[in-house]
Amino acid sequence: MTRRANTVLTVAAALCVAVVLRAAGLLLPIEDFARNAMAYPASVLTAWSGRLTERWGAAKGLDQCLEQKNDLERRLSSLSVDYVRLRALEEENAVLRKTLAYTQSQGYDAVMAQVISRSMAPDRAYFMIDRGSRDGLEDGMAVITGEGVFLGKITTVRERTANVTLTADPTSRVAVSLPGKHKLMGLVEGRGNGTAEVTLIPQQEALQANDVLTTAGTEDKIPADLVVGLVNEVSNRPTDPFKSAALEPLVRPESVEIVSVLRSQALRPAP
Amino acid sequence: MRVSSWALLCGAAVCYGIYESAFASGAPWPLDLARPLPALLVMLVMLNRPNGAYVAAALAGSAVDLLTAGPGSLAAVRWLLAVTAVDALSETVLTNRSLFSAVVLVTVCRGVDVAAASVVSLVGEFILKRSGMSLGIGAWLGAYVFDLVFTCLLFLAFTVFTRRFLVTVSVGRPTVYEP
Repeated sequence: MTRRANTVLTVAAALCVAVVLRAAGLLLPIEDFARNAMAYPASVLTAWSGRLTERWGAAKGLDQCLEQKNDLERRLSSLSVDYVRLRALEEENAVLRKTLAYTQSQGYDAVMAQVISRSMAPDRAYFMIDRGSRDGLEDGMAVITGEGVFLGKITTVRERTANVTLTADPTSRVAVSLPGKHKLMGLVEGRGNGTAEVTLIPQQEALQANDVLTTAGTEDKIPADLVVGLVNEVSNRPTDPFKSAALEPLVRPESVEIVSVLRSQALRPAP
Repeated sequence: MRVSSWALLCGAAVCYGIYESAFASGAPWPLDLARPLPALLVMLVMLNRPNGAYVAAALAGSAVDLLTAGPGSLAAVRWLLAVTAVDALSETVLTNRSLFSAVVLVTVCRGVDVAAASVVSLVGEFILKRSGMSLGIGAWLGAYVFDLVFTCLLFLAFTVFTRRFLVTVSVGRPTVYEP
């Protein structure tokens, strides 16, 4: 037997053994251990790549910068009005709570996690984080940034790691509403390439550009009022039963290094 | 190969896997095109270290598969197939160690990788009914151009610094015909 035939046979046999062991679930502890051992260098490299992307993205032409500036100014003026109104409501709310001696209990606590790797391509948007089932994580839990912006849901959980499907991923679906309404208004569907679209919005819903959309709270394990994104443009044909809108994310996933997973307090592992 | 060489090769392969899944996959253009594994595998085969190339492909591919978030891309299997093709070609057709051979071998290596990735994508999309891995033709072409440039540089560096691929021609005394 030639050297090459020998090597090819050995490789094929090794692959067959690996497939059988994987199918039997015997490789899972080894995979988990290896993933955990590589988690630290991977998270460092992911952070570097994120910072590079951010710096690269910042180097834009003057025209593009001016256009972005004008756009942001328009948004700022629109959001400032909302902010003043919400501030007044918040103060009123605090007074009312004090009067009623209401104790706030959201029922969720945040588990901090580091992004180990990103899979950002036109037709996919995933993160892998360094927390898993042993930290009480489960499928469907909400993942947010430090500022509280909703990033996506956990879709695969292993013992020490988990996969997060971001809202821009074509397989992602998130129920949204207008802030504070807590009523399902539409569904955010990922369109790939970092974009998402709100679909199934009833015609009677008043929605316009620059409106902030939040999670509806109708999904299991995802609390209400997490900011999902900003409405960019509303498409409305009178003959269609539903409206749709282009949604702009408030954070760029490429620049996210640390995330929080919202875990139900009942799932907190015993110390 | 000595034990220390094997250890170095294995460590480098795992490091490459971490680099590709954690850095290259999220880096901005053109850094995301810098995926030099095919060129390195071809160089290992051309330096008569095919077993090293198989081990490197398996380890780097396994690291990529373990660290890739989302649907798996079977990188280990793809790269092992690519090395098998390169090894077979370099033993049967392109037996000389020239720049031309290196370029053709790296083209074959990338071609097999793309073909295997397409099969994985189609299986994922149509049979398993889940989104397959992305296959942007522009990204593949960019990676291929990087492969060509990197292979040429690597080949020239080996030739200049180690004199590995230099062809030796024996020069004897010229025959002198006397009248």
